[in-house]
Amino acid sequence: MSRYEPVIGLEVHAQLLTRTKMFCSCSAAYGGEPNTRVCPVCLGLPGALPVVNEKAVAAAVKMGLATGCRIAPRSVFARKNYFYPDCPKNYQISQYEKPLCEGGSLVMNGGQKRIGITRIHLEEDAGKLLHDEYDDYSLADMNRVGVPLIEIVSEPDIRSPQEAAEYMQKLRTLLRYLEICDGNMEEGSLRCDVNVSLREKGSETFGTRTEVKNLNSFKAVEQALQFEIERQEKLLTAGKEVEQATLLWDSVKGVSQVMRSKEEAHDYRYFPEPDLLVLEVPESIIEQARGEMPELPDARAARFVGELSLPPYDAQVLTGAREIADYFEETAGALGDAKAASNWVMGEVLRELKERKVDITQFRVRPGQLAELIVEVKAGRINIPTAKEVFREMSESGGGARDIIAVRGLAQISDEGALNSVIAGVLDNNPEEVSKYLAGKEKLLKFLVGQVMKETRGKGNPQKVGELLKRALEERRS
Amino acid sequence: MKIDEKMIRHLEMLARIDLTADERERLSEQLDRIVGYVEQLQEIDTEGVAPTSAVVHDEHSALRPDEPGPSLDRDKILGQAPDAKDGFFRVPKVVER
Amino acid sequence: MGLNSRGLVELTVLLKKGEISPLDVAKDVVAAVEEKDGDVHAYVEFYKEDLLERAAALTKSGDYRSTPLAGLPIAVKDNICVEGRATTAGSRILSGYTSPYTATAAANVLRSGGIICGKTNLDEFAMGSSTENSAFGPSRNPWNLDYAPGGSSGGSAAAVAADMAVGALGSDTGGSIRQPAGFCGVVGMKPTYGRVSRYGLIAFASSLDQIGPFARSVEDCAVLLGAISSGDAQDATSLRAPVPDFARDLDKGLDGLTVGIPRDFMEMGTRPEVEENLTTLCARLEKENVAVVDVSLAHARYACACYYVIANAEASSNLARFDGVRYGHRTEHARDVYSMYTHTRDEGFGDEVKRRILLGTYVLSAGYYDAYYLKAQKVRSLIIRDFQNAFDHVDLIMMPTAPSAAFPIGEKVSDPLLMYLSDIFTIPVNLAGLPAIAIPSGVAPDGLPLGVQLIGKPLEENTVLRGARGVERLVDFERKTVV
Ligand SMILES: [Mg+2]
Ligand SMILES: [Zn+2]
Repeated sequence: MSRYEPVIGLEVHAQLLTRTKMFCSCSAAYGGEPNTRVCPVCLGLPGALPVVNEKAVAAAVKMGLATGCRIAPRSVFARKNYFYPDCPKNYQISQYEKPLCEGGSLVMNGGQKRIGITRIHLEEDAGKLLHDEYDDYSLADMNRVGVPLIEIVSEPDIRSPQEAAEYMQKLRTLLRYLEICDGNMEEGSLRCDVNVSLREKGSETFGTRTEVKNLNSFKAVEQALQFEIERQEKLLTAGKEVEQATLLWDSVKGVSQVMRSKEEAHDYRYFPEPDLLVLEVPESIIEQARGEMPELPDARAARFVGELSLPPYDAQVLTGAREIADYFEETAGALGDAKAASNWVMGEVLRELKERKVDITQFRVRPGQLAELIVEVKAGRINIPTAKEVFREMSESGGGARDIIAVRGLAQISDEGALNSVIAGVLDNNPEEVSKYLAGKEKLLKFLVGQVMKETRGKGNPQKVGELLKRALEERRS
Repeated sequence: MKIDEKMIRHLEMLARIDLTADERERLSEQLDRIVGYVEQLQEIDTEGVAPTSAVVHDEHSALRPDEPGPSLDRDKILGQAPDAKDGFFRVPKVVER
Repeated sequence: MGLNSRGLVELTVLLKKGEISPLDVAKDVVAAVEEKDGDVHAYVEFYKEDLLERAAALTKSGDYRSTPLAGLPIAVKDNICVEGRATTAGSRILSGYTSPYTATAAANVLRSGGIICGKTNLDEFAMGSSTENSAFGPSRNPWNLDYAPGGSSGGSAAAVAADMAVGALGSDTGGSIRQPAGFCGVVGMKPTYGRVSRYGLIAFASSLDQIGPFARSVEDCAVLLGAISSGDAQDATSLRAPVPDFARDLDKGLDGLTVGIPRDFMEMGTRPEVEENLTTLCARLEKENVAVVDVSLAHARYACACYYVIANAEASSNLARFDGVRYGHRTEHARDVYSMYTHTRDEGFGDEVKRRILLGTYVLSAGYYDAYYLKAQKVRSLIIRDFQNAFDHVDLIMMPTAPSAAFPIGEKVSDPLLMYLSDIFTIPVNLAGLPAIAIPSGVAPDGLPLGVQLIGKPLEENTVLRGARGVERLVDFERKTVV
């Protein structure tokens, strides 16, 4: 056991799903031919001025409300001054002393852990720099410049890399529930910097912290933190000091490297953005955000447990994404059996989605169709293995369960007469097994059931086959 | 505060201006005088006074609806750039410092 | 006398009557520019062909008769963007730059039927008080070519004074319209902050910058102001308040107005001829039934210091975008991106701009922010409060436009601080965002014009214009340019 405990805080940047950029009317969509989504404002041309996107403010307010933040009636945009070729004005418009949202929290582990949220503020994204492979130049694409971001800054309440990844997951779920960020970490819609320090267990004071930047997956968050904690621990154990620094995580090599030391720390010279007025959020935006607030994951999970009697584990998995929870609820509603719906969604549905790498909103089996399939199973018209086969076909073709069952003749044979004649044939063809069974080797029942199922090409209702077979065998005893 | 050589070099770094030795000598002397003049602000009692960063004479919320507008023509923009390649602005390599 | 020397309103009346055509005016303006601008150097670029073509087209179509500016040539300071035109802000760093868009104020000139006839000279990035800090060389005062026209909008002031444009636009951050208007004996106005959109004005200090008109009479000035004013969705700081008819109160007369004189503040370095000029004017005003009273602007004496902190802090950030990446000058001595920045900016900016960027960087930097920038912001509040208190008692505040008449070229250029002090009377107005006008008020013994400044309450341009029109009538001012 280590003497030390890590103290971790996260700064998460989330791109907002607005049509246009934070301060101009260029498209904020991902990608595009380089330098085609630019205008005088985002290119920093002489004389151009920023104007705040109302929708971005509304999105930030939603996240603020969802995390229990106070929404500042007056917040202030500020310039963060630094020179970099991906930043056309050579300052970023952000918020500094007076952010839009302050003092919220996120609750994890079923209410056992509360991570404080210091602030959520609005700012603009930077462009993208590519390194020219042929010579010593860099290439700048300004399409991403000015895409609206919220920066969510946590309190240093996180105590392990796993907890950090969980917090990040939870933030992502929330952002997606609110439909304000697509959470796509590969495309950089969600990015994370971490601050970490170590202190002796039981100590109240903080150690010297370092910042690790460029964490673009949950795995990177966990690995980079693990790496940094071990690095700091080695230093402290050897009686050395941790030096304040900014590090850059290299996810390929699995190491972080010092980007700049304390001495080289930037002096950003923040000051209030004189091109923008104090941001007074109109009451209408707050009201609308409240009105549009969906049922949030925790509340929804609690309802699944309380009203639908789902096990807490099921409820947690199903509410992990808003679309999955929606899908489940629709299926359960159509079916009238929450647990059966949950089993199918958590099992077959999630597996198919994963295999097909498809989003649930694009999935061909719609909730009503899934319910129809489950009804067939519950009515005993098909057995579980057949149902799974039908489901696979449904997800391939988008067809209905009953049609597939009918067309392919998959309906279960539950008819006693039909089954009994098959059973009689099987018993006649396997006299040895029958006599061994009758002599007490009852395990052979399974073999005989298998033979019957084979003869029915899997359509025999297995439960019924078992019952009838036992009865037929007993009849042969005399 | 004296604007000495060390300070002016620091300011040059922050402002990304590389003065020649001549300029540095001249400007630091002038800046020092200007800062000396500006010092008079310290005489004023500003206890309890709120800072003003903007003067706005009417009440309005200056928010923009989230509606797309035109972007600029890339060729026109890159045609003005000191250096461009394959649709990108081209700059000498970025070295962290 | 050519049409180029007639007033804007007078010309629009003649044009609308059909007695003259836009082409007649354009030709006379072209002739004046060809005759005089070699000496004055008011323009960095005069659009001769374009002016003649457009004026001819308008003359042919007759479309000018229904517009307020009726096809008249208006000059624009070269820190205001016009699509397809070189826009340099008087700086080497923007050499070769053509703006792909038009500033709202310039677009308003066009929409009002004016023709933009050229770009006028200025101190680089509007930083200066003499138009000597231009990469294109200095402009000269049409009253005496050895003297500076003032600045930074010296080109616009000189163009209007020398009849090389019917009106002109300038920008005023600390007096850059009013001081050159005073030095050149023309009318120049800085409207309420936000009255004219700043979109497309190359920013010097965003919280202080304001575009405004130059003309040869108060009435002309009012019409041009009306043409360029508008709330603008592209400028968050522009006023949404409706634009009034600025000519409405012009002829209401001075009777009943109360004018405040900030005597405590004016003691600072004002030349005797300037003081005497103001005293004479006060006496005349009183005869016209104007109540002339003392007001106190106790903190105005700190305005200059306050201004140099705030304006340059903003400037240091506003001018960061000139970096050699996307447009303008780039050094040939770049080893990496850092040296590309530092050499580009050293080569591209002139001394005054570098001084101000470095000063602005200093006052915002870690450890100095509170002592300088934050302190100056608080002092700004006190200066604003002084004005508010004064305006409880008076309709207008009057003081000289500058502590002296125009100074010789070269006199102050090596002493930045001395140069800064020539804006001492204009700066407090920008800090408070108030409307103010500079009008000629006499001639100094050395034959150079003197100016007086009338300052009004926020949004009350009409009271300012009414007072100015009254003063204009009282003062028997004759333009005596040497060109
Ligand atoms: Mg940030
Ligand atoms: Zn844009």
